[in-house]
Amino acid sequence: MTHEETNEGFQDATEGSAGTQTSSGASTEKLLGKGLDIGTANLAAAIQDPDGGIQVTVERNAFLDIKADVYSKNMLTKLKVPYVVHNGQMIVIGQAAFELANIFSRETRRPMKDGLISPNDADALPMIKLIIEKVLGNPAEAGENCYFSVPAESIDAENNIVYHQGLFEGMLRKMGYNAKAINEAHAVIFAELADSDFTGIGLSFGGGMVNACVAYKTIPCLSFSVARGGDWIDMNVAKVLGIKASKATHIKEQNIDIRDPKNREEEAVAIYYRNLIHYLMENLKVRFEAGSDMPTFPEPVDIVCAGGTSLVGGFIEVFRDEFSKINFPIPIRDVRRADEALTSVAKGCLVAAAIGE
Amino acid sequence: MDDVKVKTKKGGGIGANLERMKKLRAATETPGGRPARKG
Repeated sequence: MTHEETNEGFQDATEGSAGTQTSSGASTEKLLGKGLDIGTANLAAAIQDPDGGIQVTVERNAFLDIKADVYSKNMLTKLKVPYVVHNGQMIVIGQAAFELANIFSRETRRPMKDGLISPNDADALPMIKLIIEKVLGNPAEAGENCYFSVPAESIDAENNIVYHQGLFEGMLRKMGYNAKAINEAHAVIFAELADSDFTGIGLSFGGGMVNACVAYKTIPCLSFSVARGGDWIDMNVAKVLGIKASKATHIKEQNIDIRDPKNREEEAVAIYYRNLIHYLMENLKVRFEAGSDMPTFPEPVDIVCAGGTSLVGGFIEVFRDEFSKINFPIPIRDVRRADEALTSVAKGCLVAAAIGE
Repeated sequence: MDDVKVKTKKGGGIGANLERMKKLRAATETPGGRPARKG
């Protein structure tokens, strides 16, 4: 991909973030590799830092095209918004695109839809490549492990995971990585269930999908997804309120509590959240009961929820409430949210990269 | 407006996860290198 022009802000942002990380973490990166969560709403890259912690870089998976005229160029420069010029248009990526879209009542363009690369947008692949390069940076050495997240097949929609996975494998290999895919809910188990010997149920509530994985001692026994997620909530809230989906996203992310909605907008968000959680629980129960090769768990297991859609206030309480209404086939010890729900999948991918399988 | 935001945060390390995984792997592998069968 070639871009005819970039403004200085974009170059600075790129060099100042990914470049610094690569040099500071080089010694450990060689050992551990990198984890990349390729989500519909956000992209997150995890690396180990020199003192044993991890650094996760998150960017919104969105872009906005702006007419390349002098007025717009001056406006972006004044606002210090970095952009690239692509096919004759100025393109703003990530969080800045989301903020600009809200200011000007526009919708951002999204490289991914329903958990997979968007089939209807010719610019999807070059734009997501740009964001991935920004958050992931270059490999510390050629062939460094990079495990990236992929969804499981959906039970309620036809989707082509093979094509999606192949695209990103190819992209990351061209960047110099040894790229391998891992199911995103399996990655949640790798990140959050070490104390249970990686046995339990991992749920990833993303923008485009909810992914579920049941694992016994690291080995996945059941993986599936439902083609509903945060975007499904936004779309429905937007429909019933007569607003744009990006506005609905904005409402959803304003520290609301779905147990105690304060107005009509929050009420709509709460209704669709509860419906999504119930839908997932029902499907998990059915799949669990239908599974012929499910292990017998000797002890009750934990359910751990991750993903940006699980961050809303009251999520776990509503989840527990809905869970109590169904007769789940195995004993559950605890239902909890990952400490860092937005970055849990990336962390699990990093664990997989470090262990090398 | 700020520059494009690249949010970088520090999280808990993965050392404990890797240790636990290595122990599990050692426990489930036979001396010949093949994974032991479950059940």
